[in-house]
Amino acid sequence: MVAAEFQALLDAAVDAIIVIDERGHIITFSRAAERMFGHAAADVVGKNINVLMAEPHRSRHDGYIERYTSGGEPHIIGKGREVEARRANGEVFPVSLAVGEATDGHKRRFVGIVRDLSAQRAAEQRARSLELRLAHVGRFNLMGEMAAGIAHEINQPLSAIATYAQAGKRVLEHSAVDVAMLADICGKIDDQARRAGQVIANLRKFIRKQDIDTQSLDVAHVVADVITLIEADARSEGIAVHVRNEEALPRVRADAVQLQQVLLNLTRNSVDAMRGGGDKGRGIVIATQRSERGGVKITVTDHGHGVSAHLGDNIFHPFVTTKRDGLGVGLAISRTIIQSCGGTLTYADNPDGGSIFTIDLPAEHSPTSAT
Amino acid sequence: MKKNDEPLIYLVDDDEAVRDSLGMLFRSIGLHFESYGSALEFLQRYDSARQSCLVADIRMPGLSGLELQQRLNEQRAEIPIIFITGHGDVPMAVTAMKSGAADFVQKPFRDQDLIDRIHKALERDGERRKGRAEEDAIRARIALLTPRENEVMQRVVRGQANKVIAMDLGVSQRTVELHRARVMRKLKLRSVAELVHAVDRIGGVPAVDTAATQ
Repeated sequence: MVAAEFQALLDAAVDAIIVIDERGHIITFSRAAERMFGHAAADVVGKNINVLMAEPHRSRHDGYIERYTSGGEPHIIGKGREVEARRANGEVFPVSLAVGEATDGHKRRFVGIVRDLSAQRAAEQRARSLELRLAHVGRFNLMGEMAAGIAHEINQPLSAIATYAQAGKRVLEHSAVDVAMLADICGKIDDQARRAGQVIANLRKFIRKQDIDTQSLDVAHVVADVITLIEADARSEGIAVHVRNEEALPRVRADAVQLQQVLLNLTRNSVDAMRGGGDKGRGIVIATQRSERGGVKITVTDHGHGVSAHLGDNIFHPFVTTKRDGLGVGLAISRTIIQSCGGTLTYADNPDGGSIFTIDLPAEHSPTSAT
Repeated sequence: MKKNDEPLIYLVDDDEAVRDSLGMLFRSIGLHFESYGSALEFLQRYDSARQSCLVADIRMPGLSGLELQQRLNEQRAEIPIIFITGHGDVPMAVTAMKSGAADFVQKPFRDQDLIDRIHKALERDGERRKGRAEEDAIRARIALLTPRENEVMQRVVRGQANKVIAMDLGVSQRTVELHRARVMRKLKLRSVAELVHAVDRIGGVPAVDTAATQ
């Protein structure tokens, strides 16, 4: 290739192209490189490439070249990777870097092609934060729909407390006060106050949390932590909730609150599907089991009116709803949450009438598990 | 051992704490009760022969309070029901009331309020049973009448004079008077007014086949 063609190629490339010698000094700095890093070619040619780097590579780069040129295995050449770079104004930004090697007689040259990832990252970040906010709004929406059930669930212990206290007062009015019974009553009042507090604590935890906290989870625990809210919702309609956990399930990686949100969304739909009828005694069954691919399957089965056939997989699309006052975002949010954990959320008709939703999550250490 | 003639409270609530606290309240004032965690359990154990009332949560998984009331109505079990309701259960309460529920208390309730309602319900059940016993006695006595006596009784209740009855049945007026006297004796009644009231109370008596006696 003649020099003029090479120069034209350099100038036209969208990605930054930088050539260095075997001591790490810059020989060529393309137009795109000037724009990306904010350095004029004239200012950086002859300087050490590490002026374009962020720590820890910045101070280690001379060592990398020396190790490689004295016969070491290359860590980056021919592979490409994502690293952090540094602009003239000191801003550190993410780039994708591919490095090639050229030999000109006895001289070695290294060619770096650098793509700025900051716009892509920012877009990803925006999408993630939107998803997060949507999920959060979804939780509020859910809680709004469940308000009656939750009020009932708090009213139960309050009612028990009032009755225990009144029974205690009557015990005191007897001539021979039964101290053991009074002690028993006080203990029970204490238990019930805690029970009411627990409902509120669960509620707060569910509503408040906004950051994603992906961690190793025992699915049975996740279910146990949200069952109060699920039961509150179902019980207010006279619908039974049964939980069946298979023993010794593998752990999964997910955000506990988001997984609970998915469960609550599914059971919320089940409650709506059974409000007008269905088999309330068999009610809703939440079952956890090992999946065929070694992960964990959580099924939510109800005995309500089911999903009409013409909707099919559309139920997972936003704003598709069969409810008169529903927003139609619950299942869309749920599927997004499960997919972000590398899992799937699917629907099937219940042969006994009703719906079966299946969450299939990969095991924590399986290769399909998302990071 | 509880004595079987003591009035009994059946307590049905799926919430263990609510059930337990109410049980404690009843125990503290010496009321007899049996408690059940579900409507079905209660239905299996319910003894209709005993003076009782039912205190039940209106919202329960499985068979709800309203469905339980429906089952009892189908079985013609006239046990008075006091429903325990939460906030926002007004529409349900109205339905229950229309289906004959005795009363309501809203959670959380005052103990005296509930206890007063229970006493009233038990009293009402007692009166209903007493009334029912009297009706059964009237029916039993009417069953002792001969077909001819029964015929005469029905005509008397309808307001026919002895002369008319005698003509219709083709017997003497004296015979009609004898039948009438036997009817009053067997039914242990003193006047026509009492007879009309008694027959009215059991909803009338089926007409006897007069063709066979003519």
